[in-house]
Amino acid sequence: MKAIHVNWTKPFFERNRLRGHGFESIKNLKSETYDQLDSQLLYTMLSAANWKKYNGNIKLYTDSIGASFYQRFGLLDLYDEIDINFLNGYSRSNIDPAYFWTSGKIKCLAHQTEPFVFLDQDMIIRNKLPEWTRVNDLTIAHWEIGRGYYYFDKEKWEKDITHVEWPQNFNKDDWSPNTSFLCFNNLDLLKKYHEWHKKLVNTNGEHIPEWFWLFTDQGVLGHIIRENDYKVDTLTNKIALAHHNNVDGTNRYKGKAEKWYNPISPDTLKEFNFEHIWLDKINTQNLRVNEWFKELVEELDCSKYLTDIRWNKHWKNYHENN
Amino acid sequence: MKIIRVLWGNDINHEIPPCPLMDNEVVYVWGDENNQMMIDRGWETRPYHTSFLFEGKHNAFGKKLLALKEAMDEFGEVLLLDWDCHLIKPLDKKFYNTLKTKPVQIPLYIQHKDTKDAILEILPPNQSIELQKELDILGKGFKKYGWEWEDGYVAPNFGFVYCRDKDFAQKLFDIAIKHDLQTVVDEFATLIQVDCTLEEYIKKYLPTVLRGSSNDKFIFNARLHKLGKKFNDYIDNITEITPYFNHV
Repeated sequence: MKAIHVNWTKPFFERNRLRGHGFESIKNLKSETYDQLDSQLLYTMLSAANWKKYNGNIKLYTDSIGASFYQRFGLLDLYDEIDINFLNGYSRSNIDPAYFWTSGKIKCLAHQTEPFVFLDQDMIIRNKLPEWTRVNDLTIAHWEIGRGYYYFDKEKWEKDITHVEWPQNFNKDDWSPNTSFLCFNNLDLLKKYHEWHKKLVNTNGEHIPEWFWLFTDQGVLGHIIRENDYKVDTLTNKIALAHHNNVDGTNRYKGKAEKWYNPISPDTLKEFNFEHIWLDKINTQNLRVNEWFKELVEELDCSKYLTDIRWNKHWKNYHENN
Repeated sequence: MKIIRVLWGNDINHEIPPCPLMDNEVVYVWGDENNQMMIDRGWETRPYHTSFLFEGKHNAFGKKLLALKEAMDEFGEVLLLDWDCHLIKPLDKKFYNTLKTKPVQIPLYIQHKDTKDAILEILPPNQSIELQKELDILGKGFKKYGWEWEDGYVAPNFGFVYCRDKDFAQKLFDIAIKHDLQTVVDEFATLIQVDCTLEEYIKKYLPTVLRGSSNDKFIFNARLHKLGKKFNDYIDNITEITPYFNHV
């Protein structure tokens, strides 16, 4: 099945205003010119190469700057298809790339004409996707239980948002789909998602609070699913809790919240293993960069993408430890 | 403004992207196979099936001058980019306004006075005799035509050429033929044509939108890399560079 990766670089150049909680490492990049951390490049390679190994073709949507950056590292050769014009065009629109940094992604999704998989570049699928992911209207990575700043109520919306009305029937307590993996089998659902997204991000220059961004990407998709009774599968039965504050379970006894929760009767036939770097990338020190490098070299035949001088220190480390 | 690329032979095929990376690119391409490859990848091409010009052992870079001349005849204003000159920032109003300030803009770089050995120091050992001969010729050319600067010789770097002066492009082509230039034919022709001091060149021709050689590539504790970095620092002290391209 065809997958797509999206790298829209326009938000990078507005990164001081970027919204979303996974960007601290990007914001700290000093460069005035486009750059990515080594870890970003490595997990992008892992994501694309593993998809090709187990599941088939992968297409890259990016812009001229993203393509030039990848070309320097030879990464464009990882992709079966590349589209630069579409996002170059979207970059000329008035959509605020810092407020709505995933908008380029959603526009690319909406551009598809047949069922497909979208993968975040930090979403790694190391197996063949099971058939059940392609049966219902949509398969997502997992659901999220919203808490905290990014999850709003009607009062907050009506106080802060003027360009669009509170979505009828929206229930803030429902789960939200994580959009790092999306297998769109029903393109009507995709069409509705795009229509809603357009309405939400065309703000007429109004000031938009930070929490609104996540709704334009995840929250609204959940709302569309419920309003239309679309059937959704998840790669994992586990549900992620926003703002968890207990990493290893040691503080469970005093009510500190862990990241993952199981429903009472999980569907054990529908459980699929994946690696989503996700919020772990906030603290780059903890990333398994050496293991990723080894996997790329030894299992994915990706040494040819690791020839730039930037990888010298990683090769040194690899040879010292293998 | 057209973006001009040039391709001959098959030594740099690994640098050629699977599709055009910028709007408005045209490739001047030598050889039927190369032409077909570029068309298949989505480029607009200007093919040269055969050419008796710049087909010697050490003068292939003259093809860039032929391409520049022909591109100027056709388009009147062009940006010639090497395949390893990567876009790293959106081309905004400031970029285009900067180009308006001078009709010809070519960045600078430096080679060590001990050209051949300084280059060999950063390459893997046991390079071919053929390359070593070419580096000898390169070193002599830099000494003859370049500007002396500390332990090196400075020359324009033809990896990025902005031009809206048709005569300039024609003259470079004529000079290359007349002087039978070898190795970096394009850069030596420019040095002969501009006929000025380094300081005058900086005022008249130096772009502020990139460095001739990016600092990114100066990573070895080697003479050429130390000198390259030092020269870039010198340029940075004279003029404010806002890089839109990275020439690696």
